[in-house]
Amino acid sequence: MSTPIIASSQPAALHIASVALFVRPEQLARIQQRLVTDYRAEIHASESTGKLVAVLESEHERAIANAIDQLNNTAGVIHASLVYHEIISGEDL
Amino acid sequence: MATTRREFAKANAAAVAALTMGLPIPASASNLITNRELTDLEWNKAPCRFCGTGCSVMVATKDNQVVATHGDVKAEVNRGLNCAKGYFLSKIMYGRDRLHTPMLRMSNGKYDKNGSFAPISWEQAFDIMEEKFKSAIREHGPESVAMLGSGQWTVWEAYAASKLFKGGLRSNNLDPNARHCMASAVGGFMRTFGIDEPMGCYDDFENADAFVLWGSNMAEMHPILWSRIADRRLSFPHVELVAMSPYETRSFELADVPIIFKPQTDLIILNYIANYIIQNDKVNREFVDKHTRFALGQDDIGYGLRPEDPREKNAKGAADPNAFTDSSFDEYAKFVSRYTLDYAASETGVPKERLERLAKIYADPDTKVMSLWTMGFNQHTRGVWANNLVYNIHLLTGKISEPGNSPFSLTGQPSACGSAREVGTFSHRLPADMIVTNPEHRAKTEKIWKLPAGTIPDKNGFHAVAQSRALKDGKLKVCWTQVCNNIQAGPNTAQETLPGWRSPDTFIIVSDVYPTTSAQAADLILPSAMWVEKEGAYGNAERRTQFWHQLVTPPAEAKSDLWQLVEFSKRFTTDDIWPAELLDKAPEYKGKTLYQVLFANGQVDQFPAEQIEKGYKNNEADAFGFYIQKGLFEEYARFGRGKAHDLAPFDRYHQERGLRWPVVDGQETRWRFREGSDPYVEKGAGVQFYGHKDNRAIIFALPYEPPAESPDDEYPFWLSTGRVLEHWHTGTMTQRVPELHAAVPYAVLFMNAEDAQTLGFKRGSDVRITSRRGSIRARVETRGRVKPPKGLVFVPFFDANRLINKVTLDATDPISKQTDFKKCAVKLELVSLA
Amino acid sequence: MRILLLLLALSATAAFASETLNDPAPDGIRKGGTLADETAPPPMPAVMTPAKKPARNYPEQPPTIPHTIRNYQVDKNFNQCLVCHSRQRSPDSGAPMVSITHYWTREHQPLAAVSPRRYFCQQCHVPQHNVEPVGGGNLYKNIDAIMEASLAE
Repeated sequence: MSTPIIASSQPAALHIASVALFVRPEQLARIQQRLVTDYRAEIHASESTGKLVAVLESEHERAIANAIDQLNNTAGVIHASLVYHEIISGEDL
Repeated sequence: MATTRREFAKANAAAVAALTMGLPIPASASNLITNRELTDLEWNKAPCRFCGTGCSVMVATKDNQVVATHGDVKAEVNRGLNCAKGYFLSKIMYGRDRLHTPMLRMSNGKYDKNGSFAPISWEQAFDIMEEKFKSAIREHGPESVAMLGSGQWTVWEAYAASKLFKGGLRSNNLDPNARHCMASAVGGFMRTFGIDEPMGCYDDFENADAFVLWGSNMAEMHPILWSRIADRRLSFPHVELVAMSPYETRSFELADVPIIFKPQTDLIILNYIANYIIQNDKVNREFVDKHTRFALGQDDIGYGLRPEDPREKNAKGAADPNAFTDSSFDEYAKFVSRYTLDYAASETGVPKERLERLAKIYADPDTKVMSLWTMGFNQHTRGVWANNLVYNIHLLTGKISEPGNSPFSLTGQPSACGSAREVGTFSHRLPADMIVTNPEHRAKTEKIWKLPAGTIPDKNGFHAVAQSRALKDGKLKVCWTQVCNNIQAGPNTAQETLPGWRSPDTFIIVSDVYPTTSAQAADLILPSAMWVEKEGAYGNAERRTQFWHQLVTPPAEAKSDLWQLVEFSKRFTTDDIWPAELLDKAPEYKGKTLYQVLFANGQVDQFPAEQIEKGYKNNEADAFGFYIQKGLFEEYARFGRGKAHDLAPFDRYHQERGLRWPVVDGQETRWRFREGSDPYVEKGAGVQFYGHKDNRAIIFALPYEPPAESPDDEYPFWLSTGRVLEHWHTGTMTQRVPELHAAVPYAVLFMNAEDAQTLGFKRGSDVRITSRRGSIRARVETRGRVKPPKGLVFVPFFDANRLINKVTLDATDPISKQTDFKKCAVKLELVSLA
Repeated sequence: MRILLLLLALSATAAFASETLNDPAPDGIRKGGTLADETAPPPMPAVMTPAKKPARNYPEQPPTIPHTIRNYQVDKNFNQCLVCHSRQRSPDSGAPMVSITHYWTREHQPLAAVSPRRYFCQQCHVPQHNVEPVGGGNLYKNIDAIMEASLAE
């Protein structure tokens, strides 16, 4: 993993994004696990048919874009796409 | 805060993603906001703002706004349920066109009857009111000023109004709009039992074997009580329901015995049942001998129309409609013997077997029957009679004052019982069932109010309909209305109400929360606080008194009706308006303001503001410097304590989901007149109708008499008016809830499909509805919730753009003075087919 | 001539009367200054059938009905709403199952079927017609809006 998907205690800004994933149902558990361990993602919803909602946060926008690219290249993931992206400036944190 | 901001964004992110994928909003989204300070809601109880059922709701507030409401699970009345209206209470205060400041009709900076409304200060508003009240009283006496309030006043607002008018300004021209709503029920109770309000309670719903709806459409008008009936009927197969009405309603969906009768012939059905009971030897002789007596009522009593109307001139009993003479069981039996099954079936249009099945339900000693009625009986030119006649049936069979056996008069307003009836805001009444024409009652009232003897006028004031006529005739000069919308809800708007209000001789003040049709017809508009914007108390249909705290502040310059009444009382001194001989009896009051005499009187002001429960606002206590609601309540409660109207101490009501009076030794009363339940019944009496001195209830011989107006060749249809479930009364609050407005946007003309076809109308046609008094236009609905038989049409009155009361007739019950909004004759003509 | 004058006088009075009855006033649900007028009824609006179910204002708000229920039979013998919304039928019909609260008795005990006290659906659930809100709309803010506002502070 290149840029860590994790925010330091006093970031300049924080990027929060949600990703919608369609995965092979039989791979659901494995991918879910990977999202949590590799990307420090939070899983907010999932369905046995293979739908997943993951929320990522990072200090850098690039980290999120990279994560989505990587996820799309991961075996078992049919498609991952960015749905929501919000930037919280440092003063608000 | 940092965590929250971040997690809030995450929750949003998750929710949006879930939504795009068709997944349910993740639980985490709502759980994520972990800052308690942000998510904490203040929850408090309050009674619902709408009908007389008296449901309790839990109200959530946040940052001085109501954000959510739901049914109160701890409340006996509704146990967690609300109807569609109740569930949307959160929104009733937030219509964009809420009134924010007093407004006066003006031209060139001065009051002008025909001017345009311009905002003014409260000071200026009271200035013009003071001028108008004082000049009217000076030139025409206190009989020339009036107030119309309502059963939506809080108990202390009604009590303050009563003190201000009857005790301060010395005018009995104070009436609630409950006159249009409950007056016949009051008349029925006072005549039969000598004491007002139901003997039974809502616990009867879980105990009855049969329910008989006399005209009442509870499925729409009392949905939560209906849910209790549905629960009983659908859970216990032996339970029966009889739905009676001149037209089919939603309540017929649950009916085992549906009965459509010709308007006004309910009187015949009532007498037929009594006759059936007697003929079939089903009279409970022991009960009748021990607890009742018989009377023959005055007949041919007229229709409460103007005296020059031929229907009044020709009525022999119109002079004293309330008169009755002693009678006997035998005379009574003979009197009702003409109401045979054949006669009843032919006059009412109801099949014989259904009439007989109904009569058997009442006659069977093993069937516990609950009779229920509201406006079908009360808005009836023989409304008091209808009330008397249904009690007859329950008294003949002894089916009364015990669980499940219950003649039950429902109410339409949240505090018709509490504020109109118990406080006695009618033009003939004083608190605790007393009346202004009785010298002892006046003396007792003057004593409690610390007023000199002779302060309260000894004759009845103008009742609601008489107020409208007196305004038109120029006898009334100033009229102040609070919490009601008489231009829309009062009868015969076009000929009586509106001309009086807009007459150059009158000055009309309307206190309201939104620009209602009444506000539009006024000269001065005062912005009011509503519901949980003030501390309040309501009394529901089962004698239950319920309190609530002020939970939010009213917008801008809006003030509670209580503040308006009490603050305005500072504008008068006794010297201004009391005659010298009265002042001589109370020299200590010379030069004092009515505020000092009536409110800062050592009683009303005896509780300091510190006694207000911690954490609650109280704008009135802030304004006057003492806990005025408590002071008014405790002074008022003195009238009823020891008189079978006992109320609990003020503070207890804030802790309870209401208590049913009489509350004696801390215990509420469920069934009055029954030993073991009602502490006022003497030991060993079993049943005691103590409202009358001889402890007996009266069974009245009263005949069928025709309505004031019936269809003829020129006006061939009956018109009946009423409510719908989604809107309450004139829709002032409910129409401003977008969901309720979208549910039922406009009043339509409900009519029979065959009638529509005959006249060349179709569903959606624009039709003019015309009576001898006025006309309106509405769209035809032939497949709606109300299904009239041929010859009858129904139009709800909630819609300000279809003022159906331009069409109705201002005929009243001559005893109760309550209008019959259910019967008049109209014609229909096509405007466009659509 | 005298008759004509009388007629003129009469019509003047009538005009004055109706003008007085229609004195200017603020707009409410009814337009200000129109009390004496006969208002034309708007056409009957259609029931809205939104593709997406409308959000609730607060958790205990009964959801509105996003479809027409014209001629639905709901009486003591039959409840057409439950044909799709009952627990048993909901998976096949795709309609939301009635809430769990609807299975409770007055004493808060769960029943096997919908409680009779909740039997008449339209006491709480109402369809929505395609109309504009009256009085310029409603300024009610739900808890989310208020929390967002406090967060923004």
